[in-house]
Amino acid sequence: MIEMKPGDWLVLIFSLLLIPLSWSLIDHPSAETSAIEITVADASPTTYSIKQQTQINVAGELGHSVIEIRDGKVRFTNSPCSGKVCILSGWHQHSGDHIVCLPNRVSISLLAEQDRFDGINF
Amino acid sequence: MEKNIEITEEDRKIASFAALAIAIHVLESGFPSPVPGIKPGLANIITLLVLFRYGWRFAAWVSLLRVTAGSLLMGTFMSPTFFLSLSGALASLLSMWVLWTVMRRWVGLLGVSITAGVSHVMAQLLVAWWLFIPHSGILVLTPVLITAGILFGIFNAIITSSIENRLSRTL
Repeated sequence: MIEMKPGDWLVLIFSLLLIPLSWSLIDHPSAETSAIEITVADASPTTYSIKQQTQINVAGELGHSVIEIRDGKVRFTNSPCSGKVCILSGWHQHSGDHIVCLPNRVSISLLAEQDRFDGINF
Repeated sequence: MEKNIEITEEDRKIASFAALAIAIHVLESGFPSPVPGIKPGLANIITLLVLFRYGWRFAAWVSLLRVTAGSLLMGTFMSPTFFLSLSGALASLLSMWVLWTVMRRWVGLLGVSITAGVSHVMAQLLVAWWLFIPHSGILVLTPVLITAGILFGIFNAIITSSIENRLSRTL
């Protein structure tokens, strides 16, 4: 079998620890979503609190998209696009998530009060 | 006046190992992968073997020839695929240089293979992030790639070591 030097054990143990560590960094429940940002085409985004119950009508490229906010979650309920991918993707509540309707050029970003991290470098 | 480029024994060895690595590289790309972008990097077995037997300079030649000639064969030369491949190869060569040339007394095949695997995927991820997909969402791939890099690093080290054992018995 493989000849193991001390450094090999070190690398092996460290790397086997790194696997769960890297998953936990990414998979952790994200920080609580505090707001959503709705962006239409190239316009600057509009921010809404997620702690409310409301329906928002957004005029996109093709027509009106309807966005519903309820119980700290957000979804598309109506959209003029043909694929309806945005509606079918359902409710979203995790910060960092995005719902994008490409045909109508409407996108929703779920924001947290604090960003967890921008990047990880090794 | 006729000019002759002297071809040394070393050149021949580098060329044959590179050819072997290219063949593995091309064959591997034909295998379906359950997750796109994740593959074992079997050609790295040749790089490791060459590093083990002939040293880092030799391994660097074989690895870079594999990336260049492999991409020419696959028609990906100078495409994003090529730059990802190149960045991965350069990063793993760098890690091999550190571990193998500087710290050889403490680290062997397994340590080098795992480190090279992880360096490879991380360099690719960072280059992809920097050049092709400048969105932090791509970082969600980090654990997937690290896990693959480590597992295939172990896998490749085991294969390399068994090849090395057979070679040293026959040669």
